[in-house]
Amino acid sequence: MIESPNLMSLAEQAKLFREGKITAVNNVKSHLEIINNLNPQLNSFITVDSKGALEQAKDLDKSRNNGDKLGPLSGAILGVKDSIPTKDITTTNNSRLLKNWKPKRDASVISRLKKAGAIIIGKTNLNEFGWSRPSELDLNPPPWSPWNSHHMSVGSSSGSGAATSARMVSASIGTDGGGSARLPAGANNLYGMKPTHGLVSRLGMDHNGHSEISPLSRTALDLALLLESMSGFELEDDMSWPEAVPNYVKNINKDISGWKIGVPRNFIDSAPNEPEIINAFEIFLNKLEDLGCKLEEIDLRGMAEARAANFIVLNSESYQRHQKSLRLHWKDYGQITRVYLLQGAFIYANDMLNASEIGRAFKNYFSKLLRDKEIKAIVTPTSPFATAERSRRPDEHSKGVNACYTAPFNISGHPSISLPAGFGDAEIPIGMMLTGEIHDDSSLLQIAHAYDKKTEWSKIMPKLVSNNF
Amino acid sequence: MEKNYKNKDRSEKLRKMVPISEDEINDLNKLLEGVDSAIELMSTLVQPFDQEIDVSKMSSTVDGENYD
Repeated sequence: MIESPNLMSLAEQAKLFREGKITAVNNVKSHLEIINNLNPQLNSFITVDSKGALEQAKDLDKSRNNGDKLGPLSGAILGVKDSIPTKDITTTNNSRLLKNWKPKRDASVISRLKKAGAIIIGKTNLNEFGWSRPSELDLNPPPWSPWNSHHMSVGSSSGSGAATSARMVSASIGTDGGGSARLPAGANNLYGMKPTHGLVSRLGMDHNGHSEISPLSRTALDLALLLESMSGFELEDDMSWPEAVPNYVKNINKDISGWKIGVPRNFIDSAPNEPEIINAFEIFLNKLEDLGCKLEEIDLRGMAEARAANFIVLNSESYQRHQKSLRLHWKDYGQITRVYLLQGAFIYANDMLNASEIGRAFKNYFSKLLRDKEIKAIVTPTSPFATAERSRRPDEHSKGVNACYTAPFNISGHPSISLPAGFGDAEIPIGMMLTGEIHDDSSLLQIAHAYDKKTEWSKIMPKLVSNNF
Repeated sequence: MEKNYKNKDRSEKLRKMVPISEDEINDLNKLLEGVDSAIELMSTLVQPFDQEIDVSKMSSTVDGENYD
């Protein structure tokens, strides 16, 4: 007898579908059952498209029965952050301004995922416009952590992270402008990747210049499957990478022994890391050594300036896009979001240009550091904090300390991946992060896959979920 | 003193832009301390005309300090 598909990875679900051992319709139904059981409590989804998902599934079952060629994601069930436009499915950005917006077209990344056979089951929750902080005053209340229901889910791709770890979906798609996919991946025992800038086109969606569409999944192999399906050149996107997509899946079983990993110990020691984070970090380093990697302490510079530059760009671009609507629809914005958005009104062109120049300098510096030291990646925690609430202490949030490890690599464009690495005192997962060279996303996936095979994290699920099976 | 003037200017600009409440202005001014810190930190790297950013002068800590 086959166990519930919800308990399997995306790759396993797709394999069983290809082999005719499960139907896409049944896979959708079993995921809808979990959504119906848990979403009222967790608020992971804003919109569940049961009808549309079942129609996609029926078409897939028919294609398979006809012997048609199937895509690598065929039969897999995805949740998509509600900031990414999906044709005929309401895309609210968790804002009253867009509560009835049904896009006429899919964003290009959604078209690619559908072409690969993925079934979009619904739209996942986020902070309003992926900005500010979670608030009961948004269109929908914020998502809660499936690991400890007294804690909020870390954002801004908070619903994507919660839905994936709660087995409501096979995997999910988020966005990451300063850590918004890697941070929830870390806090949900998931693999989450911000790809190299330009690899996954943002064509067809509103986005910040350094925000990347990012997959979140329960295994590293799933991440590779998703990234390969999402990537590719888009002629109409001037930031899109005009090269062939590498074979992330085919090449994932690489021998990583002897690979050098940089450990920026001095920088890490300067962050306000909680003890649980440091304990998990040391264990993670030991695991990398067990895998044959060689650790080398490095002097890492400019992380604070790069974080500051990313913060300035994010604030300025967000305000630029909302400035007219803020004047016209002030009362329709969440009370917290509209105040956050106004920060950008006090950033001037010169500040933006300085931020861009610093971003470029940091990008070149970090790439040179990797080259000169012959390092495949550097390792840091994903967040210095072990719960969402601790990361949002007002004094620290205004400085973006919760994103001290993640945000610098948004403005630099380097690929960066969060891996599961244990649990904190609140029984909420902790993530560790690897960041590598531009367009060497493959090496990160290969390290993550080797780590995944030697650890048990992928098999651990929230008690709230296991009680349903 | 300088901070008070800055906040007053900002408050006046905001009231002309949107129907913002005094509580919201206070909240925003707190957030803008983060923006001001970021701009100040960036300015330490900006160079005079025709000189490039000296990466060796970049900070080594999370707070932007340099302990060399």
